[in-house]
Amino acid sequence: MLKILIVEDEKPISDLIVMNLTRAGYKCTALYDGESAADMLETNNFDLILLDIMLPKINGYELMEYIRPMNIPVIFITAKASLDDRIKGLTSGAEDYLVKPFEIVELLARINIVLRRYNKTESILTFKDITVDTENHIVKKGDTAVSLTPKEFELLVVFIRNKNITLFRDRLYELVWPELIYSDELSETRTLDLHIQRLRKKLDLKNDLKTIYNAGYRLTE
Amino acid sequence: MKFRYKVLIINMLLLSAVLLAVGYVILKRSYDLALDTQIENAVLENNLAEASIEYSLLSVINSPRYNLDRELDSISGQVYAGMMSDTSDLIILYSGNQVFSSEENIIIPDDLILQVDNNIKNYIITEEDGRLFIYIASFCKIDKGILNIITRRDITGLKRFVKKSINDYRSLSLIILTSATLIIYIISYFLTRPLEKLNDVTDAFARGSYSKRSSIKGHDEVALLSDKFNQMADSVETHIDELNDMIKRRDQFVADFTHEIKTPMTAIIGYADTMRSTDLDEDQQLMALNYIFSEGKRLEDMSMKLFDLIYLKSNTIDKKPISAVSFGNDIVNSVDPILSSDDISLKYEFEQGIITGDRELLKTVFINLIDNARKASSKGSRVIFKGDKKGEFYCFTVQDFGVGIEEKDLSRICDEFYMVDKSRSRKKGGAGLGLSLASLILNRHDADMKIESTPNVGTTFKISFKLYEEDNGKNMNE
Repeated sequence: MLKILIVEDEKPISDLIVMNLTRAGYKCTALYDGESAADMLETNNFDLILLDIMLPKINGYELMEYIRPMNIPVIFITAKASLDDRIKGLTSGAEDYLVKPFEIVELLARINIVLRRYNKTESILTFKDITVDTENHIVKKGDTAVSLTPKEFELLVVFIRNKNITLFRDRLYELVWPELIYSDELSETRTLDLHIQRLRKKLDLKNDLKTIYNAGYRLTE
Repeated sequence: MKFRYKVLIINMLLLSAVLLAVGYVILKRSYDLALDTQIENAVLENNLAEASIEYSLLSVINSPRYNLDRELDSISGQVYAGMMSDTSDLIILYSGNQVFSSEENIIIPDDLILQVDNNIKNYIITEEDGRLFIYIASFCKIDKGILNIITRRDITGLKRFVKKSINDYRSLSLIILTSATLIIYIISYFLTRPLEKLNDVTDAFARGSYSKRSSIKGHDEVALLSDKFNQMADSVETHIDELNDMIKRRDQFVADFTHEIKTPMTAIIGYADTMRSTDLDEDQQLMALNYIFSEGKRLEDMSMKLFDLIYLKSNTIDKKPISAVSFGNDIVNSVDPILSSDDISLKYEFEQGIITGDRELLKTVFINLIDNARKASSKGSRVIFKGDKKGEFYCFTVQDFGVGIEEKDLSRICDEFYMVDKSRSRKKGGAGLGLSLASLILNRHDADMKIESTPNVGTTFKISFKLYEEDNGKNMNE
């Protein structure tokens, strides 16, 4: 299980992140100030750190200096959205920079990207008898290989990574068809539904890949 | 055109005109004088010639036989050679006929003899071939005829003298004009230099260097103008600084505001999103809903206080007399329930006194302060709220025995969104606006707020109002 340290002094936000990351299968440790985070890092190892910048006692930038030699990827989570702050955040050695307010799916996606960059995610995803080799783009159901188009493949990966989470239509478009987000036909397009049908048919997911009325789809385990 | 050039040109024109007029008068006078001298000399010469000739003629006439024409010629010759200067000529007419001429081809001007009368001499000045002559004619009767003794004197020297005078004067004028130009230029340069300096400073000022000041010293008009300019610059700079300060504060406010609003928004959106996307168990659902509610409340509280802040900044306050005792008791009634729910006791005591202000706004202030005291205190602690008359002031005191405020935070606690301990303040529902609102309200009431605090000992807020004048305190607002 991958271990994530969350250093965030706003209890509601911290609880929110912990709640969602735990559901996504990470082991979370939440701390509320920079000093205790530094203490914690001395004795424990983590795979990723989510770090707020405005922290009591030791702020995020200062803590970053401390973390840098440890080779632990850091994602800054902050309300500071100015370009200067972003640049400062990224040049200080952080892997990514997430500005409040953010959405949970986005946080999960960013975490995934960073972990993949550090080769900490497994390249083989499984769902029931389906295995997905994200490195080589191979999908197997049982022992038989199933051929998927690139978009079908991406969509499948998104669903498996966000098991038991309702993915809203707009969110799915954002993740799989980012090029369509700003086009006018988004509301009328049937692309998503077509791909869902194809996935259900090819992988026999009729009962698992559920339609949530007026919202989107969910892959239920 | 530059001012100094204007001064220069006007002065030069004036000086030239004066030099011209003076020159004309002087030259004219000296010419006239020289001419008079010449005429006088010529007349004297003529008189001398006349006297000599007449004297010589007397002896001739008295002799029995004589040839007047011949005698005249010889006498004239003697006179001419003996007593006349080289530049003069002598012509003798007898009864209109020329009997002697020291030089040939002398043409006697026509008017010369016609006007000659008995014992009166006549003169005419003529110019022949660039030479100036003065002709003098005298008249006397000899025998039966009329003898005209005409002397011609060359006064071309006069012309040369005039010419030389003019030349001299011209050179002199040129020297005067040149040196005057130089002097006037230098003078006007130094006179207008301060103006130019002031101009440079004004220019720099206009282009945004608001700290530029003119350094001209003295008591003349330019120095006065410079002083006035500096005064103006001071006030402009102050205003611009104030404006910049205001813009900076506003930017800071907006930045703080967006920052503050982001946390509850992230929580609300995040929990709502989690709830709609996943199946949470009952505990988690309750926690999420609780957070959505409390963060929503925080946003509401923040927006209310912000509204009050904006309202206060742009509106006048309707001040009415307030009895301190009833006001204090009113507040005690409002805060008592929250304090007792936290197991904190409230000690209160109010002296009689009347202050003025907007009762509702002032209530907000003290409820806020007491609520802050509650947040700083731990269970079982107490809060003191009292009012005393001190001279012409009425002083309210709110004292707690809680966590206290560190000195570095004291100066900033009234800033908008400033929180000494963010997580602690949030937990107790603060938005960082209470004290800034309170200090603004007090400021609008001309009330003075003093804060004394020692960490881990407690904090005391002292707020003093000017007492309401007793004699017109009849329409008291109870």
